Amino acid sequence: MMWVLIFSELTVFGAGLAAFMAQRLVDPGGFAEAQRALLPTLAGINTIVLITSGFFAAMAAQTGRHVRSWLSAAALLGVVFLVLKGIEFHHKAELGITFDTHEFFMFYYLLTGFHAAHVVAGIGILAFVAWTSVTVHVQSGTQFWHMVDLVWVLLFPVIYLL
Amino acid sequence: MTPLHLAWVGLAGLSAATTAVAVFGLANPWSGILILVFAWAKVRLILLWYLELADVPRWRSGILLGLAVFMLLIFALYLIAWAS
Repeated sequence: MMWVLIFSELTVFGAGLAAFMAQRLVDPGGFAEAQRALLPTLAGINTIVLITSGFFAAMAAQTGRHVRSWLSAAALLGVVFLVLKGIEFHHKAELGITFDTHEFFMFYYLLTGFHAAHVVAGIGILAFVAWTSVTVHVQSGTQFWHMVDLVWVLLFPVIYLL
Repeated sequence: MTPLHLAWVGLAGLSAATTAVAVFGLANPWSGILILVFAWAKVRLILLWYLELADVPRWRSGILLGLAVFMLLIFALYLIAWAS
């Protein structure tokens, strides 16, 4: 069941990224100019934060030992991700950048905002499965978290670096 | 070191390599191509070792094929934008 959710989420994000790349063909100069307002260093740090969080979640699911500790650490790094994401969004707000500023930012807010919403959901799921500590719950919860991790690994280079 | 530890090391290394390419830059389109290749490798590591697809060969083949098709689409769109 969790894999059905994972496939559907990956399809949605994949379609969003493909649409972003296709729209970039229409106005490559405008997209490049808009991209300069992003904070790639902060987003790069967030990549390390999420892959490490994913590692902690995988340790909980695959070793079956210290499950609550590993999951708590994974969720805590999820919170760190959200704090850094908040700093990034605040930076855009200070520059007066909104959905309407340029099409680049419409995709930026939609894709990274939707991803951040999944991080929020993932933290809740990790907290729940840490509380139950039932093996099958832990497996499903960590699979969802890895999907969130995987999506970011694709979002980061396409939106921030290309 | 378990495969899971090695996967994390690989992910961290690829992230560092991505940052190095982005900061120091290469002539286009090579920097973009390298960044996408690194992202592709990172997704494979997450699928194989975090999501444990390494243990289920038939699922692994199908999912990695789907990933390859998606990444080739992104590569194509990137190269068309670069060439235009």
